[in-house]
Amino acid sequence: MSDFTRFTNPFIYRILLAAALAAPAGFAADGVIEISQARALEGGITEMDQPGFPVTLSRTGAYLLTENLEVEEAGLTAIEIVAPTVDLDLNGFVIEGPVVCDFQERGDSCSGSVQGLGGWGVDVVFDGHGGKVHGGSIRGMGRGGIILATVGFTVSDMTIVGNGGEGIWSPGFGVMGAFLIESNVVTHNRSIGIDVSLSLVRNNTVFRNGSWGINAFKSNSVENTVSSNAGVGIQGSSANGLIRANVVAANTGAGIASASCLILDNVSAENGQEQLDMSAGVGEGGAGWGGNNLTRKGLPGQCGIGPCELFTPPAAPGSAFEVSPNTCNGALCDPPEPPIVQPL
Amino acid sequence: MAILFCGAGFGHSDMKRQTTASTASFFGGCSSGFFILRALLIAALAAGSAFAADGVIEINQARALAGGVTEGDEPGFPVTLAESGGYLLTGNLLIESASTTAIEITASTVDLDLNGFTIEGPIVCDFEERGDSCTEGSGGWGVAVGPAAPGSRVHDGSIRGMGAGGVNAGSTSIISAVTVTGTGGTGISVAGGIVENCMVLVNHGIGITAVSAVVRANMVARNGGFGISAFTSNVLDNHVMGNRGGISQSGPAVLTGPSVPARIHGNVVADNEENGIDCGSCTVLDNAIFDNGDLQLNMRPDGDGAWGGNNLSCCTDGSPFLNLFSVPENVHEVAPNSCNGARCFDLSGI
Repeated sequence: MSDFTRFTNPFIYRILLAAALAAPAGFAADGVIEISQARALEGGITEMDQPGFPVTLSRTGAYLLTENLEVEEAGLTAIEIVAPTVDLDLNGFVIEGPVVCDFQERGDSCSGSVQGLGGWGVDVVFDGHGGKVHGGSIRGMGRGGIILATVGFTVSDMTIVGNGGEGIWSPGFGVMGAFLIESNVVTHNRSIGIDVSLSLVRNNTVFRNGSWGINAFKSNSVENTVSSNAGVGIQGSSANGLIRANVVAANTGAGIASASCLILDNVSAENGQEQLDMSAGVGEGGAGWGGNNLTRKGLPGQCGIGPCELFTPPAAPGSAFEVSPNTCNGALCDPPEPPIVQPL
Repeated sequence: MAILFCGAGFGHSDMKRQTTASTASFFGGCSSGFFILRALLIAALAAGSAFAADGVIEINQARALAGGVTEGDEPGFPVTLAESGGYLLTGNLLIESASTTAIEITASTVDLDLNGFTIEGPIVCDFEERGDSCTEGSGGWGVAVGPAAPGSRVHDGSIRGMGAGGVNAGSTSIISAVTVTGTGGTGISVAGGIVENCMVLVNHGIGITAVSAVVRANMVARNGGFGISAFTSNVLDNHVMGNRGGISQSGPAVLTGPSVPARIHGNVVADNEENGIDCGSCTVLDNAIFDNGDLQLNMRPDGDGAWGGNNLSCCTDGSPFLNLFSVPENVHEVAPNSCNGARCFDLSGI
């Protein structure tokens, strides 16, 4: 053995050992924490993580799915986020539960769903504020896709399909809200597709869910495509908000229902009831509408279970104002003449 | 040197042969030298080299403390990015002092990918309250882009608890998909550029300040100052909620004047404590403005503005006309506006 190798071999050994220690199981060399089925079952992904599901992410940082996660029990949540500014990259993989759906039908055909606290693909508790889930799929989870019980969270570039309840849901009480929900595909879930408050809901496709497409309280619902859901396409609730530039079609209920939002530049067509229903609930302050294109070519008696109207004015006279012309089956809509607000 | 030159002159096939031989005789002569080189390379990569395989320069806590991320980068914070190119965070950065900046960009056309990680400072906030509950800080930004570094991009990660604020871009930059929460000052400040798809939440001061910028599709909530303060900017499709004030057209004193416009379009502005939208020479179109504590829309008389297509709602438990809007005669109604479900009076609503 030369002097050189006598000197270097223990040195090399120490370097290799140090490198191995610097990259323990579950941690990629670049510091992203990896999540796989085996590591989920083993536990210890973060300090608070117990063996099995849910995987608990209790440390700020970046997490990466490295394979599909399979959750066999409908009542178990796959991943819960309990630390702030966690970035969970599903990396194209799927969180998969046991709920079975007939994808030829709507989401109300799904079976195997559960009620209760567990069974979500991703559960974000309040301390999980400021985080993000993106870039993968959640399919067949017992209770639903994602629950946001926090303030300030982003869900983007997700496919959320065939889950046992809502696709994306926030309980919506207290200080919860301020969510960015964008560029997701939310289809065939058993209940509402996207049900959030105080949020920006943008550029999503919401299709064939078993209840309303989007229910957004005090939110922007912008540039979404919402079709073939069981019930209302976009429900603006009885609170204010903005519903703009959406395509809303072939839902079984009204296309857009809101008593007090600003409703602009939407296409609402061939929904089972009104294309635009401004009589829904008691509005907080009144609605504005303009630039919408409302279309329903169905013959009388072919309009589903409810009225076959293009639009329904507010229940209270003078509580909606047409800020620009709207078209109804190719002609100008004919809303009732509103009063003018005078100064005191 | 022995490693480099013992096999000098071998071609690719020779190299392959030497490598194979080295696996058979780990501790022997020249072939083991080549293996050593490979081992050192592998070890260095595993431990977090400064350079990723694609040439992106990696930044993590250890490398920040060691210095030398770029030429001239001193040990500790701030990490100075003095060369154009791509940079990638490979771990969270923890900043202990509220007066210390984490990353300072001094070269043009730097791409800083936060890669899902968080730059974290010491400011503490109560996330059940508004940002004025945060400790006020100063001096330390998450990312500071120098005035001579145009064309930079900061994206895809989080900044939390920094003393002065999240991102301070002193030259034209793109800030996208960045979450800035719980800082002691301003969330994001840009002088030229684009701020889009960002979450700006519970900061002590203003959420986003923008001069000559596009501010689009951001969630701006519960900040201790105005949600968005914009000057000669295009403010589009944002959700501005629960801040001290909503959207204000204001800017540096040296630039203020009656003739500099801003465009405010398609935003939801709600539940702010003071005015919803407060501008001089703005064009205010198609916004939903409601439940703000003072006026929903205050068009100041210091500029020639325009408004149309907005829905203003407030205070239905009292007078339906109180706290809706103030619009001077030099502001033109380019399309009708809705006030509590009726047409707003054309000039002044209070």
